[in-house]
Amino acid sequence: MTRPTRVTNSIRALRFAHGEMTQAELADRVGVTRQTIIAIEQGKYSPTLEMAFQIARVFGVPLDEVFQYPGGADQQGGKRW
Amino acid sequence: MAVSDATFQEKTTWLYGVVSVVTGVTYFAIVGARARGVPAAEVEWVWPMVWCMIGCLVAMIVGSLAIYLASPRAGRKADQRDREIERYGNYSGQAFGTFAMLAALILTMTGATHFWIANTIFLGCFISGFLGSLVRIVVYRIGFQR
Repeated sequence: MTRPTRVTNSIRALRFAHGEMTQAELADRVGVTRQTIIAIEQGKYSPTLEMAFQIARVFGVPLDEVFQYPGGADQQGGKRW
Repeated sequence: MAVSDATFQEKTTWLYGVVSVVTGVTYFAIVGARARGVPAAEVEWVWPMVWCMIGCLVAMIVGSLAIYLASPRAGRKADQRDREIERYGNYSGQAFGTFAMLAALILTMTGATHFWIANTIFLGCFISGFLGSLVRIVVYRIGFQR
């Protein structure tokens, strides 16, 4: 439930790079509440894949410019058991 | 984020949590006082339960309407995150409802009085509702990861 996500995002930086877009404007364009955008920016909520694509589309950038998953090559491709 | 800045869905979750606690505590305080030194079969519990249920329902409807009218238009509609949190809260709370039904079934099989059967179901519903709201509030506040 509250396991911190390793997925980071650049939404805040992208908003400022796009004419200081407000969280409310982004929320309106994605079709979610402003509180959801706040939660995503703070890493408190992992959006669905569809919502992630919608956010990337608003900024006109590829998905991995919005969301990043840090880790070495040995950690790529899922969990290590 | 302050609760006053929360979405309509989160505010109603707080409302449901508070109303369920007030309802449950009020009912069990009334019936508990009446049950002191009286055999279970003679305790008057039906009308306190009915009134508590009506009061709970009215408080939730009126409270939700007030919150809806006071909320900014943009925050009124539930989105994906709200739906996921609601589902998670329901899932967390429903176990107690199931336990209560099972306990009520066993009480019925063993010939317990209506007092114990009804109150077991009511307690299960109360805990289920409260726990579901509590989980939702915690998730809204500290985050939700799939």
